[in-house]
Amino acid sequence: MRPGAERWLSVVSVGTFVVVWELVCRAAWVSPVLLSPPSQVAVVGATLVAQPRLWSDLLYTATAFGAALAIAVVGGAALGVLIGYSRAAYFAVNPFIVVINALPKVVLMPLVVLWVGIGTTANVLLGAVMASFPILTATYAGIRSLERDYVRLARSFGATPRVIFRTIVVPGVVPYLISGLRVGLNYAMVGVLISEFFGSSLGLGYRMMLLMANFEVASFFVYLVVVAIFTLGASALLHILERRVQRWRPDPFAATRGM
Amino acid sequence: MTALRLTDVVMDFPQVGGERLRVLDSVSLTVASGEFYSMVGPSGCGKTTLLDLVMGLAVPTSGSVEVEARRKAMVFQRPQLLPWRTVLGNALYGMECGGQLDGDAEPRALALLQRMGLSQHVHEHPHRLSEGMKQRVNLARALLTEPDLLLMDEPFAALDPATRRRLQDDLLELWHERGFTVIFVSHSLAEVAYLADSIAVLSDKPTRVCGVAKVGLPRPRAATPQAELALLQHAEDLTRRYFATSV
Ligand SMILES: Nc1ncnc2c1ncn2[C@@H]1O[C@H](COP(=O)(O)OP(=O)(O)OP(=O)(O)O)[C@@H](O)[C@H]1O
Ligand SMILES: [Mg+2]
Repeated sequence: MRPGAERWLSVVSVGTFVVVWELVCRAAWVSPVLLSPPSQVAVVGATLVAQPRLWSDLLYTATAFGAALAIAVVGGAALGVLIGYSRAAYFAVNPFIVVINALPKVVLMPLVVLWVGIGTTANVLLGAVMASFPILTATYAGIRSLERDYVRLARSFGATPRVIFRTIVVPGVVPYLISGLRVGLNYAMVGVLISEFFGSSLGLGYRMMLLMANFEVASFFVYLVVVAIFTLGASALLHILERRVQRWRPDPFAATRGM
Repeated sequence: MTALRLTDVVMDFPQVGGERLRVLDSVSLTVASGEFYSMVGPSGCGKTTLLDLVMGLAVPTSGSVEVEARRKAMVFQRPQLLPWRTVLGNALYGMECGGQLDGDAEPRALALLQRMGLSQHVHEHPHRLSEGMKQRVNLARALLTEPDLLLMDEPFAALDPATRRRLQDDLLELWHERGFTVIFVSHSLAEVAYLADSIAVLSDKPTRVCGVAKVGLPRPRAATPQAELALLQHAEDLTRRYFATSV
């Protein structure tokens, strides 16, 4: 195969999938109550996009997602730095982290509702809790794997802890933080959506629940696509950020090329 | 004037089994201000450890370390460049740590890097540099802090002979200009005979100072092959009595 020709395989496989999906629906192998053909999803999508409701749902969820992620980054990174710096803090906090991490975070939902009630606060809170753990553990791992020699170097030139933090710790931890963010991004979305499923009066998750209850399968699929596009967009933004931060790195594929 | 005085310095390291390994065993030495002082000794005898003690990066088990220096800087055995900084950023790093960054810092760094033949590479990141280039940045980073005590841990060991000679001469030139004190660790007798005023010969662990030989040759020391041979011969004569085997 020509080099680069593999890329077209993605297009071909997705195209085939859509065509088969359409044919399956047209041949009426599955009931239209369960699955809408892509053509219908597209038509419904066009009407929904023209209406304000989809956009207000998206805006509502996106805002909650952004808030949840911001809280998770600040909280997760701060706690990660704290337990990375202090053994005492690590041993004091770690049992809680281990236990909460072992729980499927969804089970915290009833508790969240009990404490703050159904609504925006609950949506943000669940998203933030779910997203902070991968960010926290990644930050901690980043601090643990800092080069001791770099710290020695800085100290030998008389650097204060502040300068060491700014010039050694931050650049060393940021790549870890970003990979934590990559996971945290999805978790934040899951948390917000689940909370919206439970109860809300607005938002993508709420609307999807409602559409399903009314058997509006095609509209549901439209929302599904919107969620996917939104999450992919956030991922892409993160990727750009990662590229900017990691500009100094040698070609990341060099090591495994030709393997 | 004394720049450095070590008195009965003992250094133990905890071992894996819980035992303690005595690395330095009552090391005493004195370095005069402005002196080019070198140390040779077998691998693992504690030369890097000794420099760490002088730098204050480690504390001796017992004994005293007195440093008379306003500012000290270390040229590390491995270049230790920060991979996320450019050549210029790394060269400035020592000054940044010491709070010495001012408007003058960057032009001074650029001038020194140019002098070291790195002007083409100031905006590159370390992974694109050869070992010799990295080592020059390591040296520039320390020199830019204008130390009056410069510790150098086998700084030129990884270089080809021509580059090594260039850097040795650069170092001597700067040393003449600025008059700082140098403590230079090396495995090469020929090198220290070319550079140093004194050669301290260290034993194997537990390490003591076997003796300190004065090189006593006029400067500038010749750089022809014959002269080098004569230098090496001279250094070996000086240090022979301290070695059971050669370094
Ligand atoms: N942090 C440490 N913990 C335990 N042992 C150490 C530590 N640092 C050094 N040592 C031991 O001290 C001894 C001296 O080490 P050092 O690095 O000072 O040797 P060196 O003379 O610089 O060797 P080389 O010429 O190979 O660089 C070695 O046996 C080493 O294993
Ligand atoms: Mg060493």
